[in-house]
Amino acid sequence: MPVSPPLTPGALQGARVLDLSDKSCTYGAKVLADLGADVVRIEPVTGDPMRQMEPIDPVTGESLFYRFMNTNKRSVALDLEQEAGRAQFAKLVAAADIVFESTPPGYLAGLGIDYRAFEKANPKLVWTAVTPFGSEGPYAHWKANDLVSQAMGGFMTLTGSPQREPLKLHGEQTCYIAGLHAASATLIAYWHAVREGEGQFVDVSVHECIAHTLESAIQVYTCEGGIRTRQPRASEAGVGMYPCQDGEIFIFATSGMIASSWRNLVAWLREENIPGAEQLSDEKWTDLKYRRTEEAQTISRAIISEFTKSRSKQQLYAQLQQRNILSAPMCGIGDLFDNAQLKFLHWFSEQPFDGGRTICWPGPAFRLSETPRRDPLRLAETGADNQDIFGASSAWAG
Amino acid sequence: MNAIDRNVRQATRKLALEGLRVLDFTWGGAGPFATKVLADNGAEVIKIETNTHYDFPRTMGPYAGGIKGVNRSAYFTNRNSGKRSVAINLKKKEAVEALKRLVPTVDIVANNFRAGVLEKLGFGYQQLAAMKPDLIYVSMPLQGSAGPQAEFSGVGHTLNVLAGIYGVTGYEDGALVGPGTNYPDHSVNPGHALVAIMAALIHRQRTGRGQYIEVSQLESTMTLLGPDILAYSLTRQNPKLMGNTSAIHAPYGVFPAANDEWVAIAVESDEEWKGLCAVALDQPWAADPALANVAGRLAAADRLHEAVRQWTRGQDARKLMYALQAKGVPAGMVQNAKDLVERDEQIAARGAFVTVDHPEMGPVVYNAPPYKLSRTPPEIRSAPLIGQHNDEVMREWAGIDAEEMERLTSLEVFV
Repeated sequence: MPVSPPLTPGALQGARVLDLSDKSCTYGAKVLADLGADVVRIEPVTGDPMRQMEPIDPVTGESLFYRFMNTNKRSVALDLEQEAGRAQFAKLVAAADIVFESTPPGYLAGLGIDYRAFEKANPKLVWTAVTPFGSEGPYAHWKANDLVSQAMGGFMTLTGSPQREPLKLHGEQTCYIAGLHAASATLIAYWHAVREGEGQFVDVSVHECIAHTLESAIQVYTCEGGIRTRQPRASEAGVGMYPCQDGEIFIFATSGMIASSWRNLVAWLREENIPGAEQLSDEKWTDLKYRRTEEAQTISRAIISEFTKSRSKQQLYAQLQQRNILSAPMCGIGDLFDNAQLKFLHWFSEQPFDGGRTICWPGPAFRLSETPRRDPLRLAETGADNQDIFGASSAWAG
Repeated sequence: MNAIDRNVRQATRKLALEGLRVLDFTWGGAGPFATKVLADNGAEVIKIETNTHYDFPRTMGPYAGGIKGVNRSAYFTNRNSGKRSVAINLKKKEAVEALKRLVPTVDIVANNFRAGVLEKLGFGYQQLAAMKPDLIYVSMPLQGSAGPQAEFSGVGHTLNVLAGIYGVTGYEDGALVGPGTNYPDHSVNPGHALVAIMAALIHRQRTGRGQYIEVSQLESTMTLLGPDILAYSLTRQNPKLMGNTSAIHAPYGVFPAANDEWVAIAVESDEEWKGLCAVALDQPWAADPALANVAGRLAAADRLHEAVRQWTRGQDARKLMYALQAKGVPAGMVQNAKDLVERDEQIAARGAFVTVDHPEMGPVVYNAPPYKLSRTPPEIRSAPLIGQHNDEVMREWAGIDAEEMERLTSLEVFV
């Protein structure tokens, strides 16, 4: 039984996870914790470098990246470079169901505490190693981070302005992409362990995770020889941000995948007697080549903007949706808190933070009817749980 | 660690999800990308589709050899590997009755329709759980199953905007461009559905209980900005756009190279700075003591970035990447699909793309799972032709005999 704190029953209740993951994939360990696993984070005694990551609360100096990723875990501080630390680590591995780590390839083997050292004694163990390029191969010892992974994995070439450099996505997206692949692979292996009693080594390459997130770019090349590059969505008539009274609205009225959006938009503009709207019904507007010309973009932008600028963003969004025109209101982070749908779903929740301040937590990424996720409550200080975890009554005591 | 060797020596040749059966109503991008992983790991995934309204990736290419056809789209194949296809027109009541005979034999039902669509056809959770109490049922509606905007529609690009990702995707001077892909469809939304399904399976194994899973694509996508949401709630400030640069490290960014190529260089420590200087020996900045520590480099970031640009411009991006990595500097060229398929030695060594024969398309390149499982390695098998498995699934699994199949076929059920 868990010692402290009491765990809300979750889908993974009872699963014991050792977390040695870093910013390259730690979202995967958070998912396991949210699902109810008993996740014990192993930190260096000097504290986790992730505790310094942006964004930082200017008042407390606390990393909100760290908080987001690590609530509801317990923390054990160990020095794996020392024999005593390694012995304690070995004890924990003996009681673990899952090890989820992202140390450099060969580092733990060099200390004698890699998967190979434990697999015989704990044959049900699932050991997930997430590394920038995979645990072996010619680049296995290369270094990467969010920027380098988004560049090399082929993701960055798809975003940005053609006149400027390729652009990475904001906010450590690699951590979510690789973290989710790693978590799902871990759970597939854990399912096999639960059912068949056989553990295994899960070797996750961040590089391959990114190269798996390129829409159809790989197949565009292998099937048709085309090379996709960065092209903002707004490079087609009917697609892009349009001005409103109180901000901007994104309209996605393409002639391609879901052409009805364009037809419906033109019909509405004509109903409203927007000057020039009737010309948009001309056959040439169904031709993507024409829609991508400067002329088509300029003409359509003037007509559509004339219509949007006198309306409010939310009013337009609702009306566009009623008419089956793909669209979304432009949202800064602050605007997300006003989303009517998220309010209805009670997605955000206020939690106490420090002093008189509260912090507003994002809600669940997914909802399970029988085993809801835990509320994001506790963030452990470095080593806060050493005593409990190694105590005689701990589930980890073996 | 030599995981690949271990695959060969010790694999039991059993896939992890063998014996599980999935009734898969998902279509488009996000849903099928989740259920294909179940198929790659050995589950029997039955894709329900129809010729009366194609799963749209079948009609949008890229097409094998550039030739259009509903059985020729590689966008479709990459999201539907290893599945069996049943083409069935659920607008006919005989079709609904026939398909329902499968329900007691399946473990998982998946869909990504808007709220209410499957309920109207008789395949809602309550309706199916009455036939199979321990069913795991996953819905992936765009914005949840209830609420003022539950019936709004969208695609990955509109979701990028609605979830706030567009608003933080820009250059450091404030120019917003938004993601170039339907990003959530290929990342978090299938990912969250998959971890939820696996967790529910594990829970069912332990308790005997199934459950209903809802992955609202809006909620799921907003998780990608979790730390920024926390920060805004404390500071009321949107994050400052950094483009490819860093607030705490320099040099850090994407630099021009020869032939319109680009190379990312991310120096995160003084040690890595020394590595960069060892490659840029002939450059005056490499010997500048003021730049030896991070404070000095940050203070001179603009000048330093310009100097590095002058140095990288004209160099071969791939050679520079190799040279920098050899000195321990995190660096990588901005690769495109051709680079990944033809020139990336790591991708080649690990078999990250696999080629599988397709009955109409011939050899087709798929993304392999981006991980290796040492004892139950997943396997990419061909995506199906539309309706390819009507007979196998309806006769063998639903127990519909030849005569009944004939009758249903004459009623144009299987189209």
